Amino acid sequence: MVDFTLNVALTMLGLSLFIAFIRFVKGPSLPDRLLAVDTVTLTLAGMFAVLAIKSSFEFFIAVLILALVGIISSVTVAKYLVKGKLL
Amino acid sequence: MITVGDIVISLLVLVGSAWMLLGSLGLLRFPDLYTRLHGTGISSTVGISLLIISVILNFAREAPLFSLLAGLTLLFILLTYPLATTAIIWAAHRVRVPIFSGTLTDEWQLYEHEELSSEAGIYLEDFETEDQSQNRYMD
Repeated sequence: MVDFTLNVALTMLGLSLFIAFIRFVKGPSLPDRLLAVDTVTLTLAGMFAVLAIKSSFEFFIAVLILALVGIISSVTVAKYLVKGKLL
Repeated sequence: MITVGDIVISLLVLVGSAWMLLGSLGLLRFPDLYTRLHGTGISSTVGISLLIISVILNFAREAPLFSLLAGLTLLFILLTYPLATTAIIWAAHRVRVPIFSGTLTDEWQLYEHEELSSEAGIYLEDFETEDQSQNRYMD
């Protein structure tokens, strides 16, 4: 029963990944695409968390790495947008 | 055999992934960058929290150290992701990403970011007289 629930959750997360990717493709401005990348990263982290429940804990390391990469990429591109004068 | 822990974990996982789906749907359907931030905010706080809390509960009995690592990861995400979204929206507002026409006010526009450090009294006077401020952000 738990396995079935985890499969349903993985399907929903994949659907939300696809929806966020649509926004990444058609977003009119660069910050839109940045928000979409943020959401894609977090949804992938959520998928890896569900996989950690499903098979083994080693998948959880990916959540840590994705969180680190997500924050660093967001702040870096935001800083690029304002030519380095963020605050 | 289904235990109480299984039911709690599957409920948390289901609600968390539904929350992520709602966040992405908001990211797709909202009209404007500043309102789309709401969708990302939803999935980056509550959705990922529910999913990682279910991981914590799943490993709490057999491997408590893994639960500790998951809790630290959750703490890191909760501390840093609001910072990232704030940086994005700050930069976007500063490079004048267009605002949805149904927005009522944009109070921050009055302060003219480049002169944030100068005295605020001038801009506060602007802020009180309504027709001047109306002209400024209705173009």
